Amino acid sequence: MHIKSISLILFVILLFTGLAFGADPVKVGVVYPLTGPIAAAGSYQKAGVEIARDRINAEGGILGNPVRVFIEDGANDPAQSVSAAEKLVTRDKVDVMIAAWGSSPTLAVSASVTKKYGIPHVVDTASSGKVTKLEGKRPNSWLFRISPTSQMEAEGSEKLLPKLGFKKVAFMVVNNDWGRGAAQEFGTVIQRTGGSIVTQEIINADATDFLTQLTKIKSAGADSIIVTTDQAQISLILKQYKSLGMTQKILTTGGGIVPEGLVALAGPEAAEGVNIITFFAPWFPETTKIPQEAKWFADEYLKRGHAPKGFGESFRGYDGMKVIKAAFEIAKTTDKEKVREAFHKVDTWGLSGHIKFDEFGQSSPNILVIQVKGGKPFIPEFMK
Amino acid sequence: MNRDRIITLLFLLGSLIYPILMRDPYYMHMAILIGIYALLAISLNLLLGYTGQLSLGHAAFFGVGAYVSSLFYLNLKIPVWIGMVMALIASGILGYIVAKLSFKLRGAYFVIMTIGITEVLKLVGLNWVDLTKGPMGLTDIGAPTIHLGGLGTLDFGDKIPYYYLILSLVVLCFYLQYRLVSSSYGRAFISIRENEDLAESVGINCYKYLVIVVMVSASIAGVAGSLYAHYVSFIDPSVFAFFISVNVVMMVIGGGQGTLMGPIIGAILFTLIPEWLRVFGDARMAVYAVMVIVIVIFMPRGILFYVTQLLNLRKKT
Amino acid sequence: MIFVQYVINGLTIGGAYALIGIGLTMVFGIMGVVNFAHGEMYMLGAYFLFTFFTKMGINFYLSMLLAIAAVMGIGGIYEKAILKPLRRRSIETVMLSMIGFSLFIQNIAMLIWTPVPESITSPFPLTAYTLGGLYFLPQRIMVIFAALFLVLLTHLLLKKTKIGKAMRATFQDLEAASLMGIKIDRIYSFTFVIGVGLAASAGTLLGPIFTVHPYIGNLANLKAFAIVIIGGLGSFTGAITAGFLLGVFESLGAGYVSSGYQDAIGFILLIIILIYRPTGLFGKIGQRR
Repeated sequence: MHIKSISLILFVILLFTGLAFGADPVKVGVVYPLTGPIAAAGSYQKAGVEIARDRINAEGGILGNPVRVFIEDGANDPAQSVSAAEKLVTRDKVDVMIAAWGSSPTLAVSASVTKKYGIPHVVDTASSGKVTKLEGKRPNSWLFRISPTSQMEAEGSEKLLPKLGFKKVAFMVVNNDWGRGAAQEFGTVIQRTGGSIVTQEIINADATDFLTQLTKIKSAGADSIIVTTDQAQISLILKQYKSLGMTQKILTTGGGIVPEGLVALAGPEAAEGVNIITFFAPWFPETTKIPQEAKWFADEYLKRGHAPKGFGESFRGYDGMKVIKAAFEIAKTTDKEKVREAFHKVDTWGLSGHIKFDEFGQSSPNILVIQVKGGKPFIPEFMK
Repeated sequence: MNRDRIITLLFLLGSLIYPILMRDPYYMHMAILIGIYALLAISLNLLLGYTGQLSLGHAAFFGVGAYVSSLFYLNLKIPVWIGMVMALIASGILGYIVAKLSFKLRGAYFVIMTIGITEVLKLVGLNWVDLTKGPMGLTDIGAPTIHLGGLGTLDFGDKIPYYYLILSLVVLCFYLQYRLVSSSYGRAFISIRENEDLAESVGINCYKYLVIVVMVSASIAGVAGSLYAHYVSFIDPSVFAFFISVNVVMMVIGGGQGTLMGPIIGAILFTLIPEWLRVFGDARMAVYAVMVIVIVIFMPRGILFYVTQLLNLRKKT
Repeated sequence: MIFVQYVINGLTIGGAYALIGIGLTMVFGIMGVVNFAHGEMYMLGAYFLFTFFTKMGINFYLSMLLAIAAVMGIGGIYEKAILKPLRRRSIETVMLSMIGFSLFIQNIAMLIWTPVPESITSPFPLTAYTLGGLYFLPQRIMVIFAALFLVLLTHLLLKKTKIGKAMRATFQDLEAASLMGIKIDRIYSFTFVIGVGLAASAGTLLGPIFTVHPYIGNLANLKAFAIVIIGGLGSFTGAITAGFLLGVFESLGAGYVSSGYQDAIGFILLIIILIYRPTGLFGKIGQRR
């Protein structure tokens, strides 16, 4: 058989492979990093989504049907996330999406997929202000964010910074929307509280050697460092900071960091005294307004064999599913327009605090500061 | 009309009526991506298939095309078409630079050079934040439009018009490939591939032809990058990803290097395969890696060639 | 003063670079193989150390040796089963297959050990020694010494042993060596296993300093290639010099210019060398391309 004939036949077959899907149970599409350098965070959040899904279905599902979750890998990369989102929308015909973890892929999915197709889009992680407010306007009316913006984090910790002794501050932030945005917002707040910015070091997401930057920070006379990057990198920074004999106070931002993680990856010595901004403190369920559910979640998460260092991320997926359920129950239908309206009427409590969206689709979760003391989580007095 | 031409025409016909048959936006999305990759594959086929030079840095031209086109559109607010032409020119210039820098290099050295250049470009894209917005990327890159005076505006923002735009460019490049390959240039390319020293000794100025093929190849890749940017409306330094370079090489080899239809078939296969592999979940890339190994080692003349052989053998016995 | 600190910081990374580089240049020079999976051997070295030491509780130094041995074993199988059949194929085929393997090993590692980054707590003290305002981290000093020690060992192997002589002969002239009765297959296997062992040892040395995850091989790979080309294919001295040089330049670049472009320094040097002196700083003209 001629090679060309075969290719033609193949082509024709490809031409006619069409598929159709039914549309009964509520279908949630999720785009998380499941491979690549952020795969760990993705796996923790996936755990949160699954715990929520199982609990929701055990309690009767959404609108009387079990909710179905379709998870695709976006690798925290904008191009791959857009591709994954396209597939979820056009092929799996999902009714709502949780996407795509980092700020850059989330912005991409928002602009290229959810806005274009008109699909409700829940953002549970990204922190760049641009996701909900771009040049003073709301960029995507289908998008609702339950994670705080860097500005909220900064303003939420504004009163604490002088008390923690953050006067001459150095920044070490990862080179993306998140890191740079954090440096900007916290910088503004620091200056408002009478402090000064000593130096700003931008690090690459895959960098492992920080001696140069730390040496610079040391010689610049900083008394404190604000670090914005993922847990693995922060742990490396802590180890190297410790070996250089540095004693500056440290604050981590972004919410994905937990004491167990720092202790496991950097060692109890290096992790001691680090201040952590978090939005959910599973060790102190009383800080949420739903302590029983919080305790149940923490236990269930550990029972399923997930690593404690993932606590800082897993709650996001859980809250994402919670708010989706709330919205659909208000809408009483899967009609996308009605669901969008319903999101605006949501007023509920998640693990990360009060969920209620303003006109930009932004909610205002808890901003908590905890410390690592003796290798364990600790709430300083002035936080209570 | 021989059989080859009939089949090529049937392919063309099939592509023309495809959107009418497949209205599902997911399949249109895939078709558009296939078209963009087909352009990339044709461009690399000229360099690898016909001239015999492996390059693992084609993402460089693709990425430069994407960025140049987007930056012209976003910063200077000019029509997309002009941006695309600028992309073509910019990647062509980059191709010229690459050719000049590496004209002494062959084989492994040339490959490593191409990898190095792409990595540097990626790092520039990541760090020259003032220009490229670094990892945040460029957003809201609009689609091309044609103002038809009184008849209104033809907006290519929708999938179907964009598909036809890409299809026409693919047909154009296919034809270009055909004309180039059947000309004296093509013969020079092939002689370089077969035995460069011999070609040189019969008076073929290998350097000149290499520069030409790299420039043409780069320009087409740049156009592909531009089309990608205006379709996805968002780009970031991941357009320089090593995976893109590897995948395009697989398209050329898997589809059948040094043939006219090879890159088209390769583009179809290797745009769809990473998607089909999603069924393997976490093991997706592991399976892809195995495919790369199997194809490169056992099927250097293209997948279909061996499939045909297999079927022919069955027939004979 | 800060300049000296930068240089010291750079030397420690440079030591590890040198180790990875020597392994690759040996394989490159003697076997003519472009082993794109070299970085993955580094990654496996770190992961095996993690498994033996952190997970199984075996003594740290014994774990290092076991890890290196394990990776050498894998390398040996890899050479016999994959590289040998590919020997007659074009360099492009070999390169692409190696890339495929590199991708494959990365993903298998991800499936076995999960993508969660892991940490190895070395028995070395965390705090640095100070001397005149400069900081010397014990762990990193050990890396420099270990690297130099391994380099010395390899040098002795090549210069003083019979098999080392055979390796050098193969490097200089394959045909003549074969005609002299040297069993090329054995030399190849041996060379590859040593090369892989060096990469794995770099992995065990750097693993405790940095985190371990399936993709650490990527950057190691690219740096290794840059070093080998800059130093000159097959040149020992070249790999060592280039390794330390790169470490120092990167450190200085990150300190004085910008940390973002740190990784670009290696590539830019690579490109410059490829343009002006493709055989590398110490390479000899007329070597196998």
